[in-house]
Parts: sequence; structure tokens; C-alpha cells
Amino acid sequence: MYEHPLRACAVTGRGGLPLEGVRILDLTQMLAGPYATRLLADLGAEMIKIESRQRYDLTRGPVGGDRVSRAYPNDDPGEHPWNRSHFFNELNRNKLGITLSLTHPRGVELFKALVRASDAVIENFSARVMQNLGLSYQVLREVKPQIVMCSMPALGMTGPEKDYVCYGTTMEMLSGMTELMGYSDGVPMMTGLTYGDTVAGTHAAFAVVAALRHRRRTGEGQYIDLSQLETITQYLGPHILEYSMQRRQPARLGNRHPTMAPHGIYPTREEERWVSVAVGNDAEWQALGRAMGKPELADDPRYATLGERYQRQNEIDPIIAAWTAPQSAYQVQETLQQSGVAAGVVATMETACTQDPHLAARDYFQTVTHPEAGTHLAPSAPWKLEGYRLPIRKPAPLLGEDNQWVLGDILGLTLAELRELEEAGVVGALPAELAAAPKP
Amino acid sequence: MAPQALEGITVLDLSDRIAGAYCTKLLADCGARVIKVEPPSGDPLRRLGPFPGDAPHPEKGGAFLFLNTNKEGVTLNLGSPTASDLLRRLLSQCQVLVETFPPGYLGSLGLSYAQLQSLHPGLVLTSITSFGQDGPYRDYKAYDLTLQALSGILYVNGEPHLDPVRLPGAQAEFLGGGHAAVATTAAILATEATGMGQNLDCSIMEAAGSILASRYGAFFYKGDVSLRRGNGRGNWAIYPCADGYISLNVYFHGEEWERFKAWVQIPELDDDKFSTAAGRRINVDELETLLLSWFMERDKEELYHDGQRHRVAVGLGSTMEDLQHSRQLAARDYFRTVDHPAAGPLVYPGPPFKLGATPHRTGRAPLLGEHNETVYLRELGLAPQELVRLREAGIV
Repeated sequence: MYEHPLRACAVTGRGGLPLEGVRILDLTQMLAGPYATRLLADLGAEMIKIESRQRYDLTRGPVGGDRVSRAYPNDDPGEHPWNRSHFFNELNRNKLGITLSLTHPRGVELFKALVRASDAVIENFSARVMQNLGLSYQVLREVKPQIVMCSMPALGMTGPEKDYVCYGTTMEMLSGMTELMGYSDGVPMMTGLTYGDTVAGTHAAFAVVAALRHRRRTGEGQYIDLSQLETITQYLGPHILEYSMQRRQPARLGNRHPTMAPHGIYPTREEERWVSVAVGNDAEWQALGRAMGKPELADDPRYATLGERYQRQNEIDPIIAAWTAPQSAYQVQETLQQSGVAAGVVATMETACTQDPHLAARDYFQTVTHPEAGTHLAPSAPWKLEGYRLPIRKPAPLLGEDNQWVLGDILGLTLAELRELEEAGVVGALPAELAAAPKP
Repeated sequence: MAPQALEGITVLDLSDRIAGAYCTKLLADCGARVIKVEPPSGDPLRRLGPFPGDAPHPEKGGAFLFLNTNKEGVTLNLGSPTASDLLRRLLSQCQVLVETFPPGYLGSLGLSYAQLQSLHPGLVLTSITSFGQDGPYRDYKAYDLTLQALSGILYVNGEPHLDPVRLPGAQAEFLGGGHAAVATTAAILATEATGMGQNLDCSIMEAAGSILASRYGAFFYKGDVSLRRGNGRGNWAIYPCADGYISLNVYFHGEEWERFKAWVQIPELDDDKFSTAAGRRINVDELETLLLSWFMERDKEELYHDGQRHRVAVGLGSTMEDLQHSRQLAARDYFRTVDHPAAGPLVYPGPPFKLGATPHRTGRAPLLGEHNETVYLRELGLAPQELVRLREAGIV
């Protein structure tokens, strides 16, 4: 017996986390899948992330480190860069991590044994991979009829384009997001967010919990076919209905709004800091004028109605900008909010993490100590339960960190058997690339 | 009829913003019974466009129609003294309450979480607000722009030398609603197992910020502040073509570049200066010029499918019209035509995922007060004359 790596953690003193007792196998990599499984792990599911020494999650970065596309603590990749990557460590907290080669017959066998001991499986490979590994839903259902399985490839598991190669931008483009996004006089733009991944991840997490609920009630498992594209288009629902009603492409608006004015971001005295101001009605417009010390604006008949203001945004914006420009962004936010005007700093990572008084007051950031990356802050899940933060119970797993617990305690393998598996290259804690290199 | 995943759960929906409506839409489409309570003047979402012919009409708003599929609608003036009794009786039939009022408002109705707990110990209360139930911004005013700004998702979009630019539509609201649905459903699972109620405080600012995911790590590990990257460069960029735009995502190293060359067969790309990843990076201006003139001679549909046939990640910049013609979405039966007595048949996005054993419902949004009689008379057992009296008093 080993101690369970996810130490029990009562949030409220009267109960545990909502998904306590749910065990999920996580085959996902990169962002969309790991975001889904992080939400579920934060909510208390026992999430077992399965990588292999041959093909570990790419967000760990290359074996030798990559200081351009990965951030390492103090910019130092260290001895094991794959255990120190910001990207992997941020997305995989609260998960257990094992290595298991699914191209090795013994690995497949062990995976199936884990399926028997689990409630759900989530994967975000390309549409054909699980089939090729001999681990399609049809197979897993025979292994365990009650299993819930979620596949979340870019364009879904069926259809003529199911095998198309897609990255985040590809999906934003296909969804219609890009055509709607950008400066009003400019070209369509990609977001800076790989937006589709996290939107798909949120929906996948929801779908799995809904399917688990059905299973608890009826004992029936099921398959979830999630197309990442089809989740982004949900968030464009009103635009899709607009086309259905009007047969027209909604305009690209920049920071403006179809009906509100003024509505934009304005410069401040700090470099690369803007503050947003949005005015939804006449009362807010008058409040804005007074807060700016320009009551004449509030009373000016040329700006009295929304229709007038909308027509004259090009006149109004420079007046607001001239007022914000000599101030700090937080100062403008505070002054306008005190007057009941919706203003907010255009936050950067630096302001959100170090200056935002609200996130600090709501304990949004938690301290995480990772055995190889050290002690840092990390953002919490975006909800409070009973007024408490969902705890970060465990840092992201080192490669193969929980092999002993998962394969030993859950599957009952002995240490000798584990050692044998390690020698056969089925499990292990070192990337295959390194283990294969001749020892100096 | 096939069973539904969230069958048997009744949700009282007091929400009046997109985040709340999207959360309960996900629940309703998966089979939960959602009773949407609107003021007699109607949910403010009914006043949001788009409208057919741009003519505002409370039963024809596109946002409302999309966000309220499969819900039942009743009206109730929460400010009236008799309303709280009706609300309590409604709640006694529900397992979940979703609300988006300013923090403290529910308490002013005598329905704070503590009061609700003694009334209804197994209730899941999901409160969705701009900033959450506590903290210095608690009572701040916010529109979607404000929340995109404060969460950090606005700053990262746009050209590095220009102002940042927001995401189109009400993305912060949608993100808030999507995340709230995950936690609410998890709470339902816990409540059904333990009988204990759950109280969720969902902050839209935090939900939107949550999708920045790894960027927090980059900041805390080494102080990285993400800069805006515009539309990318060279091998990882958006390009215009003959009839619109396409995206190209090709890794410079490995076989993707070779597949790309095999597809476009531009002879100049065989030049030595493009033979290494470093060379391609140094000569990116020239590379872009070559690609641009090649793309400009072709249309987006052709580029998308031909590129993909060569296993190159080309994306087609869809307009709303292109979406309707996507053969992939058509093959998956994604769009659904939903008829509505006032708005008529319109094309809606279908379910965001396919649940094999428990398919989604495909009903429409309710008319204002459409289910008053079913709910108040048949289920709460009000006498017909009582309902008439409530109507006359402007309560229903």
C-alpha cells in the first residue's frame, strides 16, 4: 500500500469535492483535452493522465529544453526540462501521471485493466488514432460496458473532413470567429488565445459529467463524439441566427459594439496599458460626463441619445482618450466605477497577477510547490464552492511519477513486475529518447 | 423516446444575462427541465438583437431564441410581496437554482443561501456574476467588454503595434456560462450522491481569465508577458486569397514543410536559402511574397481541400454563409431548423457534442409567460381565479 498521492482534502469541513470518487483516464495532450481534464480534476475527480516515454505530452517540451516556446523557472530548463515546462505544469495540476506504451501489447493490456477500474476515458487524438491502437469505444465497451468515453478531435469522429489537420487557428478560421474578429477597417484576425481549445475543453468536461450522471442513474455508459469546431460555433450562436434571419455577414466591429456607444479601450499614461469604457444607456453617459468633469458633455443634445452617440463615436472617442491619457488605468477604472460607469483595466498577465486587488482579495492565486520546478503561484478554478477555493491538491505529475501507485495499488502489480515492465520499456520515468542514448 | 442525460432534474432559472442563459441552455438541451422565470416585462435578453428586418420584437430576438431552447417560461414580479411565497413553492419542486442577480439581492428576498439551506437542504445554488460574491469589484458595473478587459483575454489579441482588440460577440458571458455549467452539473452529481446542497459562486471575470491557462505559468515561472502576435508570419499565418482568407500552420522543422512544398510546387522554394528552418525564418519576407501571390490566384475552398489532401493544416476563413455550406457540418447534421410560433423557422447551431445514448433535445425557446398555467395551476395548484388576481396585480 502506498499513500494516495491526491491527499483527501475537505473543502468546507462538511463534505469533499463534488467529483470525489470518480476515476477518469486522461489520454489527452496539448491544450483542449488537458483543459477539460483539469476542470474535472479541480472538481475532485481522480484524474490519471497517461503518457508514454516514447510520446509524452508535447507541452512538456523537447528532452533538451526549448527556451523559446516553453517557460522554465528562472529561464533554466534544468536537468529534466520535461518536468519544468510552464505549459505542462499549469494544465496538469491535480492529476496523477503515469507512462504506459499503448503500442506495446502489455501496455494495451494494462490500459484495459485500468479501464475496468475507471468511470470514464477522455482522449483528444486525431480521429483515427484510438481505432489504430485497437482501443476504439467498441473495444472499450466490451472491456467495461459502463464506461463513458469522450473523443474530442478537431472536426469530430465522422464526416468527410474528420481526418483534416487542424491547429487552434484552423478551427477559429473554420468556425467563423476569424471573419468576425479584428479592427473595423482591417482584415480578419486570429485571436491570441487558441480560443477553440479551451472552449472545446469546457464543453467536453460538461459532457463527461452529464454522461456520468446518466450512468449513475441507469448504469449505462456511452460514447461522446465532440467536434471542437462545433463547440466554438455555440459561442457564435447569435451571429448564426443573424445570418439565418438577414442573410448577411455581421460586421467586423473592432472594439465597438452593435448597439452601445461609446464602447472602446482608451490609452493611459502607462505604456501598453489601456482602460475599457462601455456605456449602455443615457444615465451612464451622463454619469461618464460628470465623472470626467465635463458636465457639458452630459447635457449636449448632440450626444443625448444612444442613436446620436452611435453616429458620433468618432467625435466622442478622442474626447474620452484625451481625458484618460494622463491618468493611470486603475485610476480611471476607480473614478468611473464610483460613478456607475462600466470601466475596466485592459489587464495583462502582469497586472492580473500582481496588481489586481480583486483577484488577490478573492484568493484567486494559490501557492503550488512542484518537486522539480519549485514554488510558484497558480490560478484557481474559476468558481468558489461554499465560499471556498477548490484546492490545488497536487502539482502536475513528473513524467511517470505515479506509476507505482496506479499500477501497483490500483492494478495490484508487484514491484518486481513493475521493474520488468520498466526494463521492457512499457513504463518508466525517463523519456525514451534519453534512455536509449548510450550511457557515458 | 430515448432517455436524456439530465432527465429528472428541475432547474429554476432566475438569470437575466447571457452567462446564466447559456449555462441553463446546456442543462436544458441535455434533458433537465428548466423553468425560466422572467419579469412580466420580459427577460432583458429579449431586447438583444439580432432581429428579423432589424425590427425589435420581444419574441424574435436571436440571442434569446438561441439561449433559451428547451426551457419553459413563466413570469413573476420578484419585487412584489406575494412573489416570494410563489418562488418558495416553485423552489420546493427544484433541485437547482441558477441566478445572476447582483450579490445580495437574493438575500434581500429572504432567499440567501443560508435561508435556502434550511428551506431546501439539497439545493444546488449557482450564482453567476461579473466578479463573484465578494471582493472589491463585487458591485462594479460590467459589460462584456469590461470583463474581456479585466480578465486579460482582450490584451492578447491584435497587432503588436496597434491597440488590442476584443473578441467578437459576448465571449466573456459565454465563457462564464460554459464554465458555470460544468461546476453546476458536478454539484448535481454530488448532491444526488450525498443529499447535501452545494453553493457555487461563479465569476465571469475568472472564467474568462481561466482560458489564459498556460500564460499564468509563463508569467510566474519567468515573468513572460504575452505580446500580441497579430496574424502571424510566414509559415504560421493568415493570408488573403482570391475570394477571402485562409490560415496556414506548417511547422518549419520536420516533414510538414516537405508536404507543404509538395503541395504548392513553387520552384523558388527549392532555393538553398529556404532549405533550413533558420533560412526560412530569415527570408520570411520573401517567403510571404511567394506564398501570397500563389494563394491570390486560388480560392479558399480549393486551397482548404487541396492543402488538407496534402496533410497541410490549411483553414478556410468561414463567413456565416460558408458555415451553412460546410459539407463537414452538413454530414454531421450540425445545424438544426427550429420553428417558433412568433419568429418562424430559423437555423440554429445544434448540440455542441453528440451523446450516443442520450441525444439532445431540439425544442424551441418559450414565449413570454407561455407556461404560467401549466406551472402555476397544474403544478403549484393555484386556483384559476388566484392566477387572474396575480395577473391583474402585475405579479404574473
